[in-house]
Amino acid sequence: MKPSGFSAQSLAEVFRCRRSELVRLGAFILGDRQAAEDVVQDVFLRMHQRGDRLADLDDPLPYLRGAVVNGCRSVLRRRLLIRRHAGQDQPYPPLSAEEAMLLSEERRQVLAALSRLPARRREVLVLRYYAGLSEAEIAATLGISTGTVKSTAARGLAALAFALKEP
Amino acid sequence: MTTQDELARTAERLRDALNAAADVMAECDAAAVITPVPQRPGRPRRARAWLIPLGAAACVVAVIAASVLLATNLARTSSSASQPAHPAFPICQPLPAAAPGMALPRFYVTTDVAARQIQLQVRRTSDCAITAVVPLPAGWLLTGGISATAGDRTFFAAAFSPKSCPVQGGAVGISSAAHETRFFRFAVNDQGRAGRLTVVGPPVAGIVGPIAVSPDGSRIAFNAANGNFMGPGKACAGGEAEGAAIRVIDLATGKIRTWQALEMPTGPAGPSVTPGAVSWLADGRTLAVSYVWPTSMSGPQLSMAVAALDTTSGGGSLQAHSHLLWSQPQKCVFCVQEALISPDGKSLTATAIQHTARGYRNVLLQIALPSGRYRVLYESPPARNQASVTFTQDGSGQHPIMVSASQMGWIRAGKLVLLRAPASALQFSLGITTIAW
Repeated sequence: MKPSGFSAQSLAEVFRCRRSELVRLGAFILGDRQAAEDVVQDVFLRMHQRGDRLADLDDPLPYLRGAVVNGCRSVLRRRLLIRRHAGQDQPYPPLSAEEAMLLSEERRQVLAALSRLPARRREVLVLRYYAGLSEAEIAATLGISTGTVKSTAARGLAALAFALKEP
Repeated sequence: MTTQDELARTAERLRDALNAAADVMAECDAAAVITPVPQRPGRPRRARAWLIPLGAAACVVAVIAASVLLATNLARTSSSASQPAHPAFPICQPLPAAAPGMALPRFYVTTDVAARQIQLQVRRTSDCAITAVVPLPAGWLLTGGISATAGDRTFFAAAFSPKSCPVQGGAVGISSAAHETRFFRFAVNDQGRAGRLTVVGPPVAGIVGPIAVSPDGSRIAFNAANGNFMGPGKACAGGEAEGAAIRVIDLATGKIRTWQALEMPTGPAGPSVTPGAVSWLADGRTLAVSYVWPTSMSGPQLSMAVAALDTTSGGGSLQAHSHLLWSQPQKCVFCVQEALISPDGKSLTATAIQHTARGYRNVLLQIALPSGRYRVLYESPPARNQASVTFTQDGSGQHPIMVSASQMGWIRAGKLVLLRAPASALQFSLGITTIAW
């Protein structure tokens, strides 16, 4: 029996402390902050609805991260369908014009190059270099092998380096 | 073909860009909470009917949390009836007794950027209890952080207000000049109660970097390279962002003096020198400036030094009016990133990174001047990634407080004694001092 588990009160606290971080994670993966906010809201709502199972989680953050990444994938799939059929749905940029202004030109270029990478590579790079996860943690979050994480990260980084070298 | 060096540099650039963007988003999240943005006509937001059950769920959670907190607070009211009600954080430890002749400041100030309006919280050193809360004016965001005078009873904050500026053609645009930074001051009495927050000094257009207040509180120094400082005057005044420079505002006269950045005479990387942290000596006229420059064009390695600037010189060249106090050895075990001088000028306190086989260690050093001998005040366990670490020190320079990615505390005999502070304050720590004493 666990001495202490996760409660509704803890969920409120996690929501208060971690929501912004998770929204940023989603925004970097999706390149769309508003959609990332929706994904995170949905994740917390689902988590609250299945409150009886919360006690199984000592640390909810890995679960939340995985849920947000999965939510982002659903959004990307939907977006792909919409684009294919209607050619619409321009995503909002992860940063507003004012926020982007606060970043240097070099950082903006890096973020733009990141947003052009395929979704899987973007997920791995964001989890590695923004969330600071290890290869094993990324593998667990994305449901793939550690080897795939390594190769995807290496290819993603090489593609990013190549994109940043281009004039 | 991409080399390993290029990949490592790309990884570093990516990490830096993501963290910087996350910081900007966090700042602007706080701004959005403070100043609701009016809905633009003709662009309706999506109807969010699903928010209704979520709101109801959040209410239930809030009621449960509130009842638990209420019960906790009721149990504690007998001993702290005069304290504002705040949830208990179990990480604050009692402060060890100070050594003779090294009295600790009685109060320190932290920030709570998660509040509806950004708050400066005065805390008692002995038990970390909040004795006063000073909200910034609505719509203002911390930019240069907070700083204390030597007497630990007067605190300063630098904050900016995002504004839109009219541009040619009558449209409304956002530019560096659209931000106006103002400086705020408040005093704390012997009971820890705070006086009124008052605006001091002239407004400056743009966003200034971290500030350092002179020991007597009469001057504010800042490094203009950290932000987009535009010059004196109100927002939208125009002008171009200037290069790296140190500026000092005389609060009595409102005058701003400028010293342009050092130019290295030769070197493969050219004259690209960036000033870093600034700190005052007890005389109130000498400012220690740390600065970095790249050692080569190909790598991210930086060299680092600290110079003493004579601020009575009236402005001009930083190089002409300063002399070198310390410089980083070419092969560093502990590679210093940022340094503050002690008020007596006898030592530097510095954050450094140590590369080990098991990862990076964040280290806090005390470096004796002029010998350069150092002693380790604190060493973190090795971690995979370099964490963002900032620190500040009290008026005596003997009691540094460190803010790392996950912890905030003061250094005591090589040990980090954790401070009770909201986790949200830590999220604001990159380049901004979120704690002062």
